[in-house]
Amino acid sequence: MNAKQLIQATETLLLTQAHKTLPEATAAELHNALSAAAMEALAPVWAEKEAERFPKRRSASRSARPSICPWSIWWAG
Amino acid sequence: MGRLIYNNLYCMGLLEDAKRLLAEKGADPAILEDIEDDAFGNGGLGRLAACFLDSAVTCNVPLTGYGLRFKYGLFKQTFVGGRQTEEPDDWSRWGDPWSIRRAEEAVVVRMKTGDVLAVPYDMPVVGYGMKNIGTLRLWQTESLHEVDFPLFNDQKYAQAAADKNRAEDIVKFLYPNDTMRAGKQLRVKQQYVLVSASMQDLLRKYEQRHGSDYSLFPEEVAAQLNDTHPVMAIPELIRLLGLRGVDFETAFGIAQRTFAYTNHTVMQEALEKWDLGLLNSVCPDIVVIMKQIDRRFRDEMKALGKEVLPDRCIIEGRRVHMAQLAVYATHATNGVAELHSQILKDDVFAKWYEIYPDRFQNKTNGITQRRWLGLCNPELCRLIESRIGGGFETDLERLKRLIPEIDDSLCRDFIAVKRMKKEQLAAEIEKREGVVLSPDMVFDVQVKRLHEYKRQFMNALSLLAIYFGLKEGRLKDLPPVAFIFGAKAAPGYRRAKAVIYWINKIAEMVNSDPETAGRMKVVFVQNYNCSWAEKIIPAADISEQISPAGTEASGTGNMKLMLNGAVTLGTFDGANVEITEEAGRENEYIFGATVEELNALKADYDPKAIYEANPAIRRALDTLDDGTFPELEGFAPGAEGTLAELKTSILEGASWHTPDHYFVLQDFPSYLKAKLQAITDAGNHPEAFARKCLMNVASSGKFSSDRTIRQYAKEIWNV
Repeated sequence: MNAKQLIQATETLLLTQAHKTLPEATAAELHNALSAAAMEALAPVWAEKEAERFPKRRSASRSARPSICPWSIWWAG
Repeated sequence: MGRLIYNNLYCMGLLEDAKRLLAEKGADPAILEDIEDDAFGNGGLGRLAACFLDSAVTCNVPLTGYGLRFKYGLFKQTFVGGRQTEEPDDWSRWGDPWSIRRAEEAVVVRMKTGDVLAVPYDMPVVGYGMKNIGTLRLWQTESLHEVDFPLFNDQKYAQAAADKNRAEDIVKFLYPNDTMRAGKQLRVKQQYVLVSASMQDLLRKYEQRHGSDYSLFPEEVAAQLNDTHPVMAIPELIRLLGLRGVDFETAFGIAQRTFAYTNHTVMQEALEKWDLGLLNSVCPDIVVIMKQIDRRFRDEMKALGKEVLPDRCIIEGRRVHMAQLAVYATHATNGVAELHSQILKDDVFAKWYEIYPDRFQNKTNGITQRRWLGLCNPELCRLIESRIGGGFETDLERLKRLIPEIDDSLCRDFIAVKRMKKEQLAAEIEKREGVVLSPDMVFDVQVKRLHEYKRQFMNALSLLAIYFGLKEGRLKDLPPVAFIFGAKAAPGYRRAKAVIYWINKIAEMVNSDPETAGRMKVVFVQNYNCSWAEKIIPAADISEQISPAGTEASGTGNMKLMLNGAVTLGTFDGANVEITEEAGRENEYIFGATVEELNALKADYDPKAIYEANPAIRRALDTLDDGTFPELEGFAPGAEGTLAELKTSILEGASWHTPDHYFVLQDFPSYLKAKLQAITDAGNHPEAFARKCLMNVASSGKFSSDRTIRQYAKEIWNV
């Protein structure tokens, strides 16, 4: 997705969710629509990378490379 | 954590074009500035974790963050009459477009106080260039039973919703007040929910690959305990493995090889020790496992012929030492700066280091240059690119190439960029705080949590010394200077709140005095957060990092300021030491006693003698009780929380504090001297000062969190 497509998607979402055009949108409405459009753009890569990190099948080799390194964040910075 | 919209669009490579297109279509992209930060974090520790996630995903290290999805983040701070007031920060009230609820992956967390459902909300962590995307998984607690229908039908509405409220209360507030048992119990519940849900999640994912063969678990999973708060994950993993038929010794071995522990503080009061009775009221099974670990440890000490001591034990009486449990039951313990890691070995964990020297490591903290240079200072990025080209967004060491480029022309261009950033900050401060700063002033900045050991108090003393010096004509050559503060004090931390009040009162006095108008300004911005930091840090000339040597584990604000071309006015503490090594001592303003000097001084330290002997200190300190400023109301005379008590705590000591516990008066003379020199150099010799600033920028490569995360991956996680 390029910036033009991102803004087009934002406009569509704004119309659907808030019945507003870009200049009419409040900060929260613009933020939510723009973020949602960006999330759409991220989704395919995110899903692909998650699947790589957490393959469902049994590892072929017992010496498989570690697949996850979780970071326990308290207070979730 | 800061705003996600700018950071994510920046990492997707769309930010500038999106802003331009919005403007072309008649929308004002600046209105996004009204969006508040995602404030799940509390201070440096939370923001550090966010930097690590950013670096991991950009460096292709497979890292998942786990945390809690608090309804209210760290409070919103406002000043009323100079006093800090707090309001809840409902960060998601306008929506949370960056989270995906994964109800199908919810887990049940069983507690003595009642079982709850932990539902994960996933947030994408976007790598630079969007080549990789990671996940921050935050748990939200919910009731297993939404409403009790029989009670509802009996019109007992409050009782019908009691279970729902009890479950949701667990993640309602970040850092609940824990001065009483109920607050402490809530914190234990928060910790237990985090670790139980996260360990169940990891086991489920592992079991999808390997079934019930847990022997590969430590090879596939490495869990880093970010301070002591998630340390209950160790007994929880052992408990969960036990439920699956794994015996204690095997489960302990798996846990030990899985976990590593990062210590983030040497402050004894911050090293958690939980009462076993309290833990028993929430998670009794965990207490049983902790006792088994303690027995195992005592047997091991016996076999080694070593004593169990207060600073080498796990359970002492009725309390469990979470940090010491972590050192024993993990395979690696690290500090977060060279000096801090040495102090862990020499002092905090000396008795443990004696037995397990190979477990101790250092991982100097870092910051992500994507947010803390690329996003917050595009003007400086363009200047750097014009001289050495790009690429530093993913390889900060490239900034070293700037060193041979530093000449008069680059210095002038740097000064122009700095002025632009000062203009932007001055406009923001005028808009939000009503204080007018000239961009021609030197900007001296101290932004961080308010804590006695960070010594904002000492900075305040210096403001008074400078103010009186200006009024009395003793500082004729001092260039115009603005002192900028940003800090939140914990709501129950009265002494810290009194310091905020004092600085605000000093600011009122200074800013309204026509005699010093145009020469000195003081501003304390309200509600300091990531978004403020992104504006203040690029505009700073002088970075105040003034904790007594040996108290700040690392600091990361010091690195952000260095990267943006501020010189460090600091002690030899935390990562200041490494910053000075990298940039050269001649390019920083270092003052104060070293760790060794302070240790030698402790026994005979007499702050009262310094007070009596130093008229400048006496005069500044006396403003706390001589009527210069109105005393804080609502406290008994001289009680903690008053200005007068601030003075008492320095001269007489207070509660558990020895007099001047953080050596303010000891370091003050050298601090003031270094500070005046830094301000004079910045204002009166701008090109020579710009060289120092540029040396800091060029030498900041070491402090990229990309380097830190690669070290964790290679040296601890074996990834």
